Amino acid sequence: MFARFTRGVLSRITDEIMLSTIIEDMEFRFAQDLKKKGWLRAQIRRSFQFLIIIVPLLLEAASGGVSMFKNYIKIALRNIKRHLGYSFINIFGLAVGMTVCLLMLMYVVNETSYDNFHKKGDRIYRLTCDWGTEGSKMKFAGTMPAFAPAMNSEIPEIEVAARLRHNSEMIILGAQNEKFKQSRIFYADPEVFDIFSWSLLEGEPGSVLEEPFSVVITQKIAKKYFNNDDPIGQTLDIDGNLYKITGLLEDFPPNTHLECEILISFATVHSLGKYAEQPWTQWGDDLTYFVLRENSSLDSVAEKVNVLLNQNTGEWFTKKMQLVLQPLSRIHWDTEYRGDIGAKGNILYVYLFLSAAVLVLAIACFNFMNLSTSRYLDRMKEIGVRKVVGANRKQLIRQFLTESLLVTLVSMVFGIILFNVLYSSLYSYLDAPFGFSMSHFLNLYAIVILMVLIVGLLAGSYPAWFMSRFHPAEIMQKRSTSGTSGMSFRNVLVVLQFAISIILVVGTILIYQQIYFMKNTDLGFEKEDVVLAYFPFTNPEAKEKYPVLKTEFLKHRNVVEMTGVYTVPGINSQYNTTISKKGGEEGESVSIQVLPADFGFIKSLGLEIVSGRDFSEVYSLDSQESVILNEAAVKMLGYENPIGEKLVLFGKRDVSVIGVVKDFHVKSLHNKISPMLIYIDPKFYLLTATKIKPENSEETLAYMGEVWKTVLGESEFNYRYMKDAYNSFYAAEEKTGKLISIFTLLALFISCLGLFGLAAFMTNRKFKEIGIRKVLGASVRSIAALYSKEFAKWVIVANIVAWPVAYFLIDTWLGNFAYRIALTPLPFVLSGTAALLIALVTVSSHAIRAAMANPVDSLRSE
Amino acid sequence: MQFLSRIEEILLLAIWKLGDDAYGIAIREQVEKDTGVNWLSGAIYGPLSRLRKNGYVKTAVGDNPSDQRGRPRIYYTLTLIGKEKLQEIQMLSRDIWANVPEMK
Repeated sequence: MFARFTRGVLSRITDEIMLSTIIEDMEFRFAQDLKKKGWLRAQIRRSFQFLIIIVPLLLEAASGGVSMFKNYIKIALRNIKRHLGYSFINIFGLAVGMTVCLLMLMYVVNETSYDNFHKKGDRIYRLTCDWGTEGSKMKFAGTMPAFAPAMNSEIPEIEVAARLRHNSEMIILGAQNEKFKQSRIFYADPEVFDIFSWSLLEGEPGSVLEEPFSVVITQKIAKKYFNNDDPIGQTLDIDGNLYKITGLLEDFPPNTHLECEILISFATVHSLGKYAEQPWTQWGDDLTYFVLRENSSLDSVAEKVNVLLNQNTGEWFTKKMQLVLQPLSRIHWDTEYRGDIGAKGNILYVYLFLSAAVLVLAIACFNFMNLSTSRYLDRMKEIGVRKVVGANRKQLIRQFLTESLLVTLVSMVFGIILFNVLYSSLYSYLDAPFGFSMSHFLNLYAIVILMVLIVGLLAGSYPAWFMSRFHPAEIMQKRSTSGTSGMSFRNVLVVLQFAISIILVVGTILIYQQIYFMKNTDLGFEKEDVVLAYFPFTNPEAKEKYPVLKTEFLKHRNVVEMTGVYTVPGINSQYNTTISKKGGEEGESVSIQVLPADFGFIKSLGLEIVSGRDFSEVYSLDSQESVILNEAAVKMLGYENPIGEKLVLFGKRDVSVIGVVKDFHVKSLHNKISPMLIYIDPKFYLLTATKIKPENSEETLAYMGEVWKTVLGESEFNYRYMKDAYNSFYAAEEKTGKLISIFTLLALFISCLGLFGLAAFMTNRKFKEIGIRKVLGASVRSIAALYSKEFAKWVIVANIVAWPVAYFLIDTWLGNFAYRIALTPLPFVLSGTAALLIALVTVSSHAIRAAMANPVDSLRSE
Repeated sequence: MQFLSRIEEILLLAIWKLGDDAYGIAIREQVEKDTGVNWLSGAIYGPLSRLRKNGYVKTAVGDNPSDQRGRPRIYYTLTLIGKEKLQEIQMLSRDIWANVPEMK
């Protein structure tokens, strides 16, 4: 098969002698490869050889014999030049469409390429766990440090397992003793190199992480701390301990969830005394990865790790903990894990971008086909003359395909140039980790080039096959064709084009409406002028100073209220536990979100008490046994009058309800408001929230910073307004909204380009008809209306096609939000009308110009 | 005078060295032996076809002992111009290298 194909192609571009030489060599090489490398690789190599061989031969041939081909190109270039307007619309439209498509596909490829460079990737899993009872399950990325060694020795299905313990931030001493805060540091077992395909530039993978206080660093770190010196054997001061550098890693690609910069040997954990005496119960820090042996069952591993858990830990764990094996490929997408690392992707946006990419390219391609086919009708005469002079059908087909491919190629070049100019700014705008390698780019180009080539061939093939069929006498006789042939096909394309544009416009409007809704809906709290700061709660000394801090803060005249709190709206964390009614039946506990806070909490956030009272320092019991519920919690517990009701918190602490607060959104509007209980507990002040007066806020903040530093002994006062924190929940939506609106505008623009060209063509063809109508007394207005109506009809059809599709798509997107806008017909009608208006403006400018022309000009030659 | 590209020169030399036994595969292997690099077929046969077109080599159809189907094999030999060209190149490079100061 392949041999015949090769022979066929080669025989066209070279002579018999060269042919037999080449064929002999190719067969010889193929036979060699077949023996050494197997069938598949031999085939691939043969195809590759073939491609390599034809290029120089083609060039060779082109320089000599094929003057005909040159002639085609010459004619094509002349045609492009003569109809510069059309050509521009055609080329530019396709180029823009390609650029947009490439940009969006790039995002998709980048997102889906996470962690796919590990050679054993499909067999790598992470040991994670579910914690809690039915209804209040939480997922944790980390497990106990004892697992990896036990898995290595006791589970035969596991090839290798290793731990990585994440350090949020450590202080590294630079060459001039300056302090750097460094993140992305992991304690790692030496086995990590057997799991992940990281390339170690220097050092032996098996031994670099053996000794305590040995580290492996990436090139980036080496450059930062050692400039260009060879770092191997040097020492690095991390958090006051000296580490010996034993290995150098190549920098990590950004499209991985596990982006390490410094790996410290896990043995160091023991030496530092951070390894628990009972490693089976030290839970949470250690990410455990393992490679499944080939052809082994994952289920039996899952079973065996849970057996390990049951054998080695106490009842406290076994009752609530369930180990789960998470495939590497899921890590980028699973967002619900606590203690997880790396950037998370949203599959919804990947789909959104993918469909937008396909739609925009489709519009551009329809446009191209439409314009080219309509243009060819103009060239009937040329075809007739060519036939009379002796061109056969094959030659005509070749000519038209050459022309159409030439135009596609030119726009392809423009498209790729435009893409290269734009992609980096897109990525910095999206703030997405950008992990594109050359091979990604080539893949992307290959996809788009293939698509565009198909379009070029399709667009060229219609006139090529259809029009080359006519008998020359037929063509010459008719003189001017009516222009209706192929009209229905083109109308279908116009309808599709506009339908897609309308879908995109509706989508844009509704995304913006939803964002507006989310930003302006009553959240139940006041987010203005609340200053958040992370309280150093791990430091016991600072913790003791909390009351001092509060008193000092409140001394300032512009500080209204201050509270320590576990979490506030805008910070993504929550704390769930179970409560039960006092005296209720055993086991009748329900899950509830609890919020440890301080006395000023309700006032700081401007929450509204609907019944009962706020916490007050006047009542001495408030800090021990008073709680406030939100309305959702009251509803869940089924209280008529909740004030004074007794509850049991954490299964042991008796509390009574003193007030009910109006529901407020702690999480984004994607989520429903969950039942919540607020109580006072200074152990859990992760944050401080301070309500200040809007006037002189800079001075107030400066004062707070001073107090913060002196009282807590912190080096910095990092604060953030709650408003910004909360709005960042919608950053993804806002960015998508902006991008989609840009792409929509482009799509609409391309559609209009197409319509513009088509209308110009139409009026040109009907020049005489218009002249006759005018002579017979038609007014300019009636003529313009006549031709505008023609197009308006199709845009209306496009509306009818687009609405249900748009409705379905946007409804799916809105399904993401617990609180969403209702779908009204208005955006649909609005975008439909807009499309219609734009179409009419585009078309009528031509129609009016044609109608204004003097009929003498058009009828004179008859 | 018309200059040859480097690969064309290497090809001519390879054919000359192989004498009566210069056919496709042998030429490619000779070139690979001379240069110590694996050559892509396209890089060999494009120039070879050009050499033939310009009249530096001629071809003859001969027996192919290794082909079971009895297909003939194409043998390449230098034409007179081809040989002259090689000599020209040899002289030229000798001249060019003649007055080069010693390189260290």
